[in-house]
Amino acid sequence: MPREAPQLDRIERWMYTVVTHPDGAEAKINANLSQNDEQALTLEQTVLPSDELTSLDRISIYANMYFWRLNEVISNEYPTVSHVLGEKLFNEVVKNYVTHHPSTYYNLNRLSIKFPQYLLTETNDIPHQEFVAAVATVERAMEDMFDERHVERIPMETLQSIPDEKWADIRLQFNPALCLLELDYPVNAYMTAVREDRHMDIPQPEKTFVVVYRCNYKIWRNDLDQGRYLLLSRLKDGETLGAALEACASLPDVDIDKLTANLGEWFKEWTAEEFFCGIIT
Amino acid sequence: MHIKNCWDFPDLGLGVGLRTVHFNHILENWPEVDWFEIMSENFMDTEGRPLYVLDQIAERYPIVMHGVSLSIGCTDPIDFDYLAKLKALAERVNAVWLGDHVCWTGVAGRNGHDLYPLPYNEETLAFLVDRIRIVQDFMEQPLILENPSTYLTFASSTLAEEEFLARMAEDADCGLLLDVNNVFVTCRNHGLDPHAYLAGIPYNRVVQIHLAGHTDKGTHCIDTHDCHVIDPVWELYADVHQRAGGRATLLEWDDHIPPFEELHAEVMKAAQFRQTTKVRHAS
Repeated sequence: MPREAPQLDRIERWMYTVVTHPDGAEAKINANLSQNDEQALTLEQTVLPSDELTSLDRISIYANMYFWRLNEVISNEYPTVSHVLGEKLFNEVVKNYVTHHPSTYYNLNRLSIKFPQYLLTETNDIPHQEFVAAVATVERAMEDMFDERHVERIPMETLQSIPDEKWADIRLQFNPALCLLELDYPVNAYMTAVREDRHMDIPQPEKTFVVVYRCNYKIWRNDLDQGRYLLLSRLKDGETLGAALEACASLPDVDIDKLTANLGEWFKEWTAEEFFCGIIT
Repeated sequence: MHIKNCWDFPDLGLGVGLRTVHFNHILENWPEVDWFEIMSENFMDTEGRPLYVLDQIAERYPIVMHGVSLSIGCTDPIDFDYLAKLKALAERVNAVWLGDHVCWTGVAGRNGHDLYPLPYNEETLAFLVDRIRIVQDFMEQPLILENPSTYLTFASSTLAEEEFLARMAEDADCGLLLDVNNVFVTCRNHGLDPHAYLAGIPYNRVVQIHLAGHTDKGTHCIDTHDCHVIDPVWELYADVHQRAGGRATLLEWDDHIPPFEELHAEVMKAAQFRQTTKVRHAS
């Protein structure tokens, strides 16, 4: 155990609360004064002025950088959310988010894990709130899949070597860098339009299905129809192919004959796209 | 005669910080760079493309790890989960050495993701020395710790930064990464003489040197790593070379990052100082 450092601990706790205060360093310092907190450090007791800057100027450099830096990180992770909200509102939302959910991890890639849920349930006065939260869900999934565990995919030959009579009983292990999303808005097309700098109105609610995955170290997001979404979901949950197909057949809009006829092509495509990393026969 | 560092860590020559925007250029051209420095945390908690690229680069170039999250000066308990991941990455890329900053990044379980300054006094020194020793024991290698750019002075500081660093390095038996741009920025912000600062550094502890650009705000400087190295910083580099001789030298450029060739050309400017500066001989 290192020796104790009570004065250092006091300074660090004081400085952290000052430089992360959402209304700025001065607001926090004034709040300490107005609360008449005799235990709290005062600015002048703690930070010396320089020839050119006051104590407040100096600590404010750190305070200004705090929100600027975290905002930059989150805006890079959520470019479409930023586009929909506009810079000013987005910055405001991010400031509120990091104030309510400050980073508790050493790595910045976990800072915004709660951002989609925050947008949906903890914010007020955000236009198109449900749509924005759906977009954030996809953008978060893209971040997560980027960092996910790497495992080797199974080659097409492995699937082709399975005897016809065993196909119904196979179970597939999925690439960990793949997630299936059921959404209330068609966000995928909108995200593509923003990325391509094309205007698109905010779409009306519509049930859509998206797969986000990493293939050859690139992140992809594709729309799925309901049949393929359900099939992949059941397989991902560990069901046999036969059981998954039965579940699909129960859907009112699914043509099971068509689905079965397309299976071979789909599996070729999914295997090439690195969806699977193992097979249990 | 050059002053060797305590551990005989090699002078790796002139390197650059590995940045995502240069991945394709490096993989396609395998440029003639002496070595790369990575920001450790960019390759932790991920098994995506950055790690895939790093594995290939580490097969061809020496890699030095430089972190921003060790928070060696933080009064919270040491994060051994973080250290375990750091150690695993160091083994994976066969890191020549690993470093971080003399700072804290958060407290009470929260992280501000900045390099916050420490009060330089006896209490901090004793605390920091103990923490460094514990971390070094766990990592089974010396830490190479960098002088940060600072923007404020604590009233409770009783030691000059260079004196604090010298005693810290000696008492904790750790190395120093001397960032000459940070020396410039800190001295400018605190009205200090950078050459006097450099005179107080124990060069037998200096393993690596950093160069970078900064932004002059008129009343103070900010360590922005977004532009070329200015001439006064090159003069400090020449001063360090006179005092210490060859040290692994790295250029950091983290914002408005130029094409790789321009980045490389910038660090190669250091070669002229390494060749033409007459090195002081030990008396």
